[in-house]
Amino acid sequence: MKKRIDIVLPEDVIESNPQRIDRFEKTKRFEKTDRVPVYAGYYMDGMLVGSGNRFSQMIKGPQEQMDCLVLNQKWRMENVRDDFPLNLDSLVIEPNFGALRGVEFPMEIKWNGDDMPKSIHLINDVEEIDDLVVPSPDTGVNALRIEYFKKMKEMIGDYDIRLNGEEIDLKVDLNHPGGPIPSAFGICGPNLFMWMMLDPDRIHKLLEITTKSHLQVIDYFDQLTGREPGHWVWAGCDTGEMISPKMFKEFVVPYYLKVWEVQNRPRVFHMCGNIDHLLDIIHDELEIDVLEHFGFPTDRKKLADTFSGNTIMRGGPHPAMIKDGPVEKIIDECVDYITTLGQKGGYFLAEGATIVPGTPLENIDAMVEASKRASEIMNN
Amino acid sequence: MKEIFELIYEGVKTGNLDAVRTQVQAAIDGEVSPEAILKEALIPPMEEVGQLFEEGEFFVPEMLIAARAMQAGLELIKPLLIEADVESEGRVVLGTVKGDLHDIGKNLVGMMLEGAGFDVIDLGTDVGPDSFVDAVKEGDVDIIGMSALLTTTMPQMEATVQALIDAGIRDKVKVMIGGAPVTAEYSERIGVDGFAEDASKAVKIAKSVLE
Repeated sequence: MKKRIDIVLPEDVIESNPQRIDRFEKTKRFEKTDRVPVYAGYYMDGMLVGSGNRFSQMIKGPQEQMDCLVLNQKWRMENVRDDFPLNLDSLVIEPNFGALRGVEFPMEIKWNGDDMPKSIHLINDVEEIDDLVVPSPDTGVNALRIEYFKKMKEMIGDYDIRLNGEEIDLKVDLNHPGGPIPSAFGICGPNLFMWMMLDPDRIHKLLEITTKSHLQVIDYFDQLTGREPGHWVWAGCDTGEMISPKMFKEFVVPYYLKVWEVQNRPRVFHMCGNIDHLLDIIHDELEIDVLEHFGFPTDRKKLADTFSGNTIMRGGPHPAMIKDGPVEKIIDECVDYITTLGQKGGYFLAEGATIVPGTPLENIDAMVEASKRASEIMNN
Repeated sequence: MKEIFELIYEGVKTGNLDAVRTQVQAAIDGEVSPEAILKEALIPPMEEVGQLFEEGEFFVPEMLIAARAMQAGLELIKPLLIEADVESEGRVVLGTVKGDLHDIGKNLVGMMLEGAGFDVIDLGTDVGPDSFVDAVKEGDVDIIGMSALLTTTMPQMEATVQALIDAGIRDKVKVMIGGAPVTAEYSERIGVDGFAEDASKAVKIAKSVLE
């Protein structure tokens, strides 16, 4: 017997979906919209809390994880009233074991029950880089992700997903987020930064390996999912903010450009620390199209000066403030972000840069209210 | 001696570990007091490194190699400092809070504090409130320093403050916090004594909370 999951949405939410889609698409094209869209950053941990599940359930097996992932999506659709367009035809899930770095390498993982798992750095001596090779794409946590992906695909027929009573499709996807720098950090830990100074040649060798590996995994996942090759990719560069502009040019720019030589535009780039000192390089040399989920420490005026009108941006205030409120403060802060960054289109308001599990839903509503108030200010 | 101190200074600032080791050993062999080596040769360059970090001239890699070089020198004089009974600036217990394994910031703070003459006990990462409480109960702790990188683990700081209150020892120790998501506002809300935006400022805050 099929497992029936009912997603129930109010009619007005469904009726307003075309408007949400229109707002999103126009924003992507830097066209004028009624207001800046709010796109809250719910990741697996936040949705698990919402749907009443625990991470330990996610790692029990493919069946258990699939149940959690479906219920997470149901919870988001039914409860979060931001402006993210709803997919009314299908529910898409993807195997998820938390935000681990360097998952394609044979990293030891510390599983922490209901807390998110952590990867243990692979090497402790810079000379160990000499023995490092590009791993097979089904190595490390990716082996687990691939196993879950295949089993979940087999189990699609076991589910009967309904949206307001109507059957919708269930799809399983598999992507490879991250990038050469997060993988290198996953392998070396903080030593990466020290070795950049003490043994730059070896770090270049390492980054060649992580770049090749990154592209190889994307290619392998394209084969598994049936995706056309050369599509756009989400390239993360977390921890890259810790280095100087000079080192960023040397150790980051060439490798991300290599990724984008193979993968098509848009160039979607993520960094969520304080990147004030790197904005010009990110704009001029990486020539990104989307700054995806920038962090609250970055100066919003500098962001506006560098990217407004030419680069799509998503991000916003401190996630802890979005969680703790009060509502009026959230509104004031979000209005300031929107009036600073949203004048020329292309800006999606989010927190900077993840919704903290347990954030009250009315605080997400406050972000939408801020968008409405900011629109009034900008139109007057 | 001035020349040796200048070489140590330059060695620390540029992260030249071998030069620092060599020159500190030369100073020891020349019967320079360990206190003078610490206060006149090892601490001043770290202060400049911290200043350059605050000014955006130095970044994490430059700080890491400088701190590593300073620590190499410190290791050589540590036994002599203990022998000479040189008083430390204070004892600090450091840890990244429960659920959080990020340690770059915490390690940098530890190295900067050591470089400034503090005695540092590093409890590591994923440190629960009880471990901080136990460390204070063991005695002679002046400051607890907590670090968090994740917004999801930040509440552990508040939990630790509460654990200190529950154990009846909150007034026996100063508490300071730091980490990417931590703000001055948050530190005020949870009732800690100090908030440091970065490793360099941590030294100033540690000194100020003990005044």
